Amino acid sequence: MPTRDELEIVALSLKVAFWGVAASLPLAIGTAYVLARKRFPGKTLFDAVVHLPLVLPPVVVGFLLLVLFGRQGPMGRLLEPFGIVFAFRWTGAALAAAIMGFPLMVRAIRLGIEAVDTRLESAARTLGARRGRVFFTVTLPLAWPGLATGAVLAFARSLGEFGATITFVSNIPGETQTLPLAIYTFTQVPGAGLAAMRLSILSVLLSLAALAASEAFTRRRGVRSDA
Amino acid sequence: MLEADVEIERGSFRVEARFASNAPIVALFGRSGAGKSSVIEAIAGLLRPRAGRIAVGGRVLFDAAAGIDLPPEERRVGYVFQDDLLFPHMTVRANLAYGERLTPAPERFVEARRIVALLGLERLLERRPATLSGGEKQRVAIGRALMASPRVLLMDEPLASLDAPRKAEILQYVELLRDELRLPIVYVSHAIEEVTRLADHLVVMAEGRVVAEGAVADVLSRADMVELAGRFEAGAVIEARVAGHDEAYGLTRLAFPGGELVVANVDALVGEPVRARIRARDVALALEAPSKASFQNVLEGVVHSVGHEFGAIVDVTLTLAGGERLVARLTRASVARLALAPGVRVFALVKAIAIDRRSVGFA
Amino acid sequence: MFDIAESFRIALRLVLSGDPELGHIVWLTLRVSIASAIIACAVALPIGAWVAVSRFRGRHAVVVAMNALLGLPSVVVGLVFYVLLSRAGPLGTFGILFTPRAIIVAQAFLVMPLVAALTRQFVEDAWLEYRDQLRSLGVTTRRAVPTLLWDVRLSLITVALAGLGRAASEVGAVMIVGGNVDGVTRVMTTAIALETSKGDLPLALALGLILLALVLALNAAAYALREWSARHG
Repeated sequence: MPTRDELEIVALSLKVAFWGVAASLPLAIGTAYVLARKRFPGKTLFDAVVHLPLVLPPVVVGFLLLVLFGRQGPMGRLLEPFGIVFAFRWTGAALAAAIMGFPLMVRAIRLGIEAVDTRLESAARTLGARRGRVFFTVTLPLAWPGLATGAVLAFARSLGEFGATITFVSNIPGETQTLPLAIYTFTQVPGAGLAAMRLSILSVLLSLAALAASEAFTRRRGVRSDA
Repeated sequence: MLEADVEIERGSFRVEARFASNAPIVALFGRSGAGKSSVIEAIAGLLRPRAGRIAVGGRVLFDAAAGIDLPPEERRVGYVFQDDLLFPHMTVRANLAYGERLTPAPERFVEARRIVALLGLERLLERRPATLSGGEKQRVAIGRALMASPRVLLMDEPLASLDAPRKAEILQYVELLRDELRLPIVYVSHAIEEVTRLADHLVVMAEGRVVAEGAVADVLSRADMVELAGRFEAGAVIEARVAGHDEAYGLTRLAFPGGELVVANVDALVGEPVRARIRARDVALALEAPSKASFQNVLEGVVHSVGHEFGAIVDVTLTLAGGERLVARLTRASVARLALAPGVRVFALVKAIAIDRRSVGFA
Repeated sequence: MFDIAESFRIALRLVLSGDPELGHIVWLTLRVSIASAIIACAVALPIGAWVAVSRFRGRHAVVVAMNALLGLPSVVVGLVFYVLLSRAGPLGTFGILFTPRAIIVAQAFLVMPLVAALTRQFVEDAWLEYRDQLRSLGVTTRRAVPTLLWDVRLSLITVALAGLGRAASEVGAVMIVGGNVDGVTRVMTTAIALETSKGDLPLALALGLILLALVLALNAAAYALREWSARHG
C-alpha cells in the first residue's frame, strides 16, 4: 500500500507530465503541420532544431533552461512580472518535461497528419471551407491517432525524465521532486531502499501502461487510414 | 454561362484551353493526360493558371491580368472527384451537410430533401462511407457537392472507378440532375459513350490543347475525330424523338428529320427526345436499297467525304436527308469497288441490334 | 548566479587551459562511455540482428518488449543495479558499487535496448531487400546474418555512435550506482548536475560545452556516414 508521501510524489509526477504535455500540444500540432504540409527554406534546419532535445544530453538541456528561464535568465526576467515563474517550481519541471518530450510528440503527430489525404482537404475547400476550418474539421480529426500516440509518448517520457529536471529545478520535495528524482533521493538515504523499490515499480507500471496505450493507438491508425 | 481561358503549367506539361458554353452540360473529352483534369482543377481554384480568365455566370473567379484569384472556398463550385473523397470520419448525413452549413442561408437554393430523394440516399444517411458500395459513395459525393448550392458542378471522371453496372446507374443520375436542376455541369471523361449520352456542348482536348469544340453531333461526325476518339470509337450521333414502340418484337422507333431508326427497345415515352450513337463500324453502305436483307435501318444519304485511311480501312462520312451526319467504316476495296466519292447517292445500312441500350441517351 | 557572459569567459579559460579537474572528468566519461558502448554493442547487436531475421511465434511480443525496455526510466535501472551491487545484494561480492565499473555495467544495460532496436530496424530492412536473392542462392537464415551485418556495417557504425552518445548523456543511473564521488565516479553529466545545484556555473558551463561538442560531433559523424553510404551504398 503506497504511503501518503509516495502518493504525493506520484501525483506531482502526473501533474508535471500532464501539464507539460497539455501546454506543448498546441505548439506540437502547429509544428507538425508545418513540417508535414509546408515547404520553406531552412526546413531541414528547423526539423533538426525540433529534434535537438532528443539528441542533446538531458543535463545540457536542463542547463540551457536554467540559463534562459532561471531567475536571472532573459526569459525568466521577462515572464516574472506576469507571474510566470519556472525556477525551482513544478512549472519548471513541467517545462523541462515538455521540452524533452516535444520531438517525440511532433514526430508522431506529423506522421498522423501526413497520413491524411490532401485531396480530402481540397474537397473540403471546394465545399466552402476556409483553410482553418479544413484543418479543424478534416485534417485534425483524421490525424487523431498520431496526436494520441504523440501525447502518450511524451507523457511517458516525462514520467521518466531525470537529467533536465534535476539540473534545471533541482530536487525540492513536494515541488519539483518527481518520481525519478524521488527514487534517486531515496537511494541516498540509508534504509529507504524499500521505498525506492516501491516507487520504481510504480514508475515501471506507468511506463508499461503508456507503452500499451501507444501500441493501441498505432494499430488504430493502421485501420483508420485504410477506411 | 461558363467562360474559361487558361494557360496552365504543370512541370514540363503545358495546357492551353479556351472555351465558352451556355449549354446545360459541357463535356471535356480526350485521352488520359490530355489536360482535362488540369482545366477542371483550375476552374475549381485548386490549381493556379499562369495566365487567363475564368468566369461562371458572369462572376469572375480568376483573372490573371486583373489580379483576381478567388480561393476555392469562395468560388461556389461543386466538385465531384473520381474517387468520391467522402470524409471517412463522418456519416453520410454529416458529409452532405458539410457544404450546406458553410453556405450562407440567402445563397442556398438546394433543398436537402430533394437531393436525398433525387439520388436515393434515404437509407444511407446514418452510415459511414467505408460501408458503402462504389455507386453509393459516388451518389453521396454528388449529393454533397450539390448541397453546397454551387453555381456550377464539376465532375472529373466520376465513373472511372466504377464497374459497368454502377456506371450505368450513376449515368442515369447525372442525366436526371441535368434535367431536374437548372445547374450548369462540366463533365470530364475519356469515355466516348458517357460524353455522347450526356453532353450538349463538347470540348475535345489533346496534348494540352483544345482541338475541337461545338455541339456534340457536329463535333463527333468530323473526320478528324476518328483519330482523337480512338480507332474503334469513331461514330456519329443522331438526335431523334421516340416515335413509337413495337411491343411484339421489343423494338422502338426513333424519328428524326432524315428518316427513322429502329432500335432495340428503349425505355422512354413517346415524344421524348433521345440521342443515338451509331458506331462507324456498324454502318454498311449500298448503292441501292436492299429488298431482301435483314437490316432494319436503311437510311438515304449522300457521300460527303472519303476520309482517313488506316491500312485496309477507310471512314466515309455521309449526309442524310435531314442534314445529319453519319460515318461508315469500310474497306478501301469496297470504296473502290462501289466508286464512292463525294456526291454519290448511297444507302446507309445499320443493324437495329447495333444501337443498344448503351448507345441511346436522353437529351 | 552571476553574469552569464562572465561565466562563459571563465568556462572557456578552463577548457582552453586544460584544467586538470576538467580533464579528469572528461577522460573518465570517455572511458566509461566507450566501454559501456562496446559491451552494449557486443551483446545487443547480435540480438537485434537475430530478431530481425527470425520468424517465431511471439516475435511481435519480443519486439514490443524491446521497445518497452527503451522507455524504461534510467533511474529504475540505476536502482536495480544499486540493489544488485550493494553489499547485501547478490552481486555485492564484486564490490564494484560506487566505482566506474558499476557505471559501465549500468550504462551498458541502458544502451542495449537502443542498440538492439536500431540494429533490428537496419537489418530487417536489408533482410527484406535481400531475402529472395539470398534464399535463391541457398543461404540459410543463420548464415545470412553475417552477410547482412556486413552489408549494413556503415549503419551499424551509426548505431554504435548513437549508443556512445546515449551512454555519455546518461545521468540518472550513473548518479545512483556511481555516487558522483569526486575524482572517482564523477562524470561530465553528474558533475554538471552537481555544480549547477551548488551554483557554480563556470565549471558546469565548461563541462556542458565539452559534452555538447562531443554529442554533436558524434551526431555529425553519424550523419556524414549516412550520407557517404547513401552515395556509395
